[in-house]
Amino acid sequence: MSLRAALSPLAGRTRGVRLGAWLLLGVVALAVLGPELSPHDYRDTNFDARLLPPGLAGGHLFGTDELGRDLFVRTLTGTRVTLLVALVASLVSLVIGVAWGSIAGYAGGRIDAFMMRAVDALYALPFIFLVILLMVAFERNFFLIFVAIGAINWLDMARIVRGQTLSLKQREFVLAAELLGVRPAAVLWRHVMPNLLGVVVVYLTLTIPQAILVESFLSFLGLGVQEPGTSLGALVNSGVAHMERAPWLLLVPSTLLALVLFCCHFLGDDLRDRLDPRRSGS
Amino acid sequence: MLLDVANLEVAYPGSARPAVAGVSFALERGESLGVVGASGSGKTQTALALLGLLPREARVSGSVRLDGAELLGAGERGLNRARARRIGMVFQDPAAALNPCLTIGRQLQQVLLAHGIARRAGWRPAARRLLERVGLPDPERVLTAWPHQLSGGMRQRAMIALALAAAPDVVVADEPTTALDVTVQAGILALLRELREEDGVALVLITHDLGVIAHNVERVLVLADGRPVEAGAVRDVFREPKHPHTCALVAAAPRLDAPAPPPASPSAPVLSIERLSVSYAGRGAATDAVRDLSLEVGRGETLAIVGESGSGKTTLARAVTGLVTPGTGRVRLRGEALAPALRDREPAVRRRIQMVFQDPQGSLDPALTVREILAEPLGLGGIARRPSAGAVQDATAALLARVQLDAGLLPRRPHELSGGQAQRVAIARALAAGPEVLVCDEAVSALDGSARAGVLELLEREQAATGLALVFITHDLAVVRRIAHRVAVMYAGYLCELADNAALFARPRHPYTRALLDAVPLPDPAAPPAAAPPPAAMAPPANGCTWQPRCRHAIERCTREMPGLAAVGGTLVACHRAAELDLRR
Repeated sequence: MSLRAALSPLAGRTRGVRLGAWLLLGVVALAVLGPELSPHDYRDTNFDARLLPPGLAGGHLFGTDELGRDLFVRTLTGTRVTLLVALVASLVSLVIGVAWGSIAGYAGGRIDAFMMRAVDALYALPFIFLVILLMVAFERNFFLIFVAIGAINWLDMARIVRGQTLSLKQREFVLAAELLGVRPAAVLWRHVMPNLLGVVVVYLTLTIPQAILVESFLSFLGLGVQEPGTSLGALVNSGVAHMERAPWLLLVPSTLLALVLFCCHFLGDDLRDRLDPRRSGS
Repeated sequence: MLLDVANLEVAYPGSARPAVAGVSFALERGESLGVVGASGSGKTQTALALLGLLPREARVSGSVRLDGAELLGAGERGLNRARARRIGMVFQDPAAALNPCLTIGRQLQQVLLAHGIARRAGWRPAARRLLERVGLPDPERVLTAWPHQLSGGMRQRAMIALALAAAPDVVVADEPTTALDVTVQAGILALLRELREEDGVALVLITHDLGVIAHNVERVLVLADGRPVEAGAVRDVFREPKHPHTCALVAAAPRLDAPAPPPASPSAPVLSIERLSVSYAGRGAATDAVRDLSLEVGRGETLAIVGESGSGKTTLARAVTGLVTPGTGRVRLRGEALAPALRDREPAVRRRIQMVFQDPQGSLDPALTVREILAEPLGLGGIARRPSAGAVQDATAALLARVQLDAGLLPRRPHELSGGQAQRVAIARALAAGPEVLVCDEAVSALDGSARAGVLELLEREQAATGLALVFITHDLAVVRRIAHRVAVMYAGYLCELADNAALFARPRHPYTRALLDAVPLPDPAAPPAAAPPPAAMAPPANGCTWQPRCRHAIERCTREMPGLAAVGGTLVACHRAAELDLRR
């Protein structure tokens, strides 16, 4: 199956997968548009309306938090941040991982050995602690989260891409290009990388939820996004504090987080089934 | 009636024409039927329908009766019983049909126990008997072997043993020898013939190869586009084919007695291979794939290199192009020594030797269109540094025209091409580089009869027009006869015989060449059936001639001394007895 066919309209998929796709699309649309449409701002505090329960009465659909901020807007803003982090982190891992893995695999020999041993060495580091150290050292820079999460994920990506490249470079169309005198960089760019796409896209759909989880984890620890900015992980964290008096503060963001993760995994599994060369042989 | 198939039809939802329609035949015990057709003619679909192995979405109608019991719609349980006990199936690729995670013994044990043919302890002698029945030497060792430890021929014999485990009345063999060497094929076909004659097994033999049909079945059913177009006794169909499709099949069948191309006019060698040796490092000892081999190819000449798989012919091709770095020896192009490794060869030098691979689809980048594939060699200094879109369109269309394809194929991707079209595109790409030498590694082996003939003609025409030197690597002697000016025969990395086309077929000088020729199944029921040489041992002998353990004419000297190449009557032969033996038929 070609990549285009795998990504093209949702026809021919199971109902569950289609539902997942629509749900994810809905969440993304809501996260992008929702905060703009709401009369409230995610930063506005209102001490007269603290810990309001969900309902239409006060104009706060999901209720308010301990500072009287509208939870609907905060949750959607948090989703926005979480999705953005996940996307950017995945792109970071995509760029570094694909470049590193394909160059190592295609070059082979000593270059390959050196590059992959470097990956092994980085693997050996306890990365969450490294990220925590980075956060502490660089004063909790928002962009650092992107970089840190991407820096975890690219190692796996590099290994997967290298493995694929090793088998691709034995393929006859690559040999034919080499015989034509195409420069190695051009062979890599024109013949190897486009054929890595299927595997890379599949892995990416699995990386995104992973990045969401790491970001949530960091934010939960208080190392992620800083107030008044927020993310789903940060919201869950603050919700835990009021779990008994105001359970909606925990339930709303964690439900949304679970929903996003669920949709991503579902779509990722489906894509993997469709693009895995070992299963379809095409 | 043992097996009675009436009006079998296989259709898939979403396709207008049924894949198989109106297929009927009947088979008694000990009878045999050959089902022939080009690829896509519905042969395999028919076989799978007989066994109820088609995918779930296939719609099968008609009737398949075994001893009067209807098999279609019999349900999985009934089918399973019928499949194992009454019908055995032998698949094309034994490597794929055997479970790589189980030893041959375990796989036989499963079948024998599952159908209660042997009791717990008794399976081993039963399995051993089966392996002996299919002619496997040392059955005790094969029982404990994993599929990957066996050669292709041994695997196919093991597969046949599995199919025979429950003593079926019918064996369906779907291209059982297509993946095998010609020398191994002859042995497998002889085994199938023997099973039929001695054990009374009814055989349905499915193949595209008329040579296989000619000697191994009594009746033939010819399929075209899923429809039966002709049926009858083998002799009649070969002597007087009635349907035009059958006539075309018979006419296109590869023959060894076709006229050989006239010898090429002598010229200074374009490509010289000098004392080339290639070895692969492995666990323990290195394997020598090519040993001390020298060859020359002149301008406008076609040199065919033949041999069984493992003879080193593909390694030789790759060493010439630089894809494999030889250990010693060198390759010269018009007298100029080439760097052994491809990465040390300048692009301009690389372009002078091009290669066409066996798998036409695999040699084209699946992510690119035909236009992009063909534009690549042009953009590399052929026309201009950065050719304009119009120039690319013109140049690629011209290239396609050169290989007799329509410019309408330009926007297509490789998987949208037929095998023959894809191979022509691959040839066009190679020609675009303006090579002096074109190495074809089994370039027509994956193609059907007519596509094959078309590609061979195309290569000949290009050669006549540009003086291209062709190195044609193949296991198929009929193709050699058709296209080669000179032929090099390789065995175990050595050059055994180097002769002109006419001389090689008329008077082979090396016993190995004779064995290769004898193993070819001729598409003529009147000709003698193919004969198989003794199977190869696992390892070549340490001393003496490498062919000697399988040689009918070996003498004591052959076990001591490896013969060198010597000229005997215009032919170079590496055999101690070349001068005294007369291997003419």
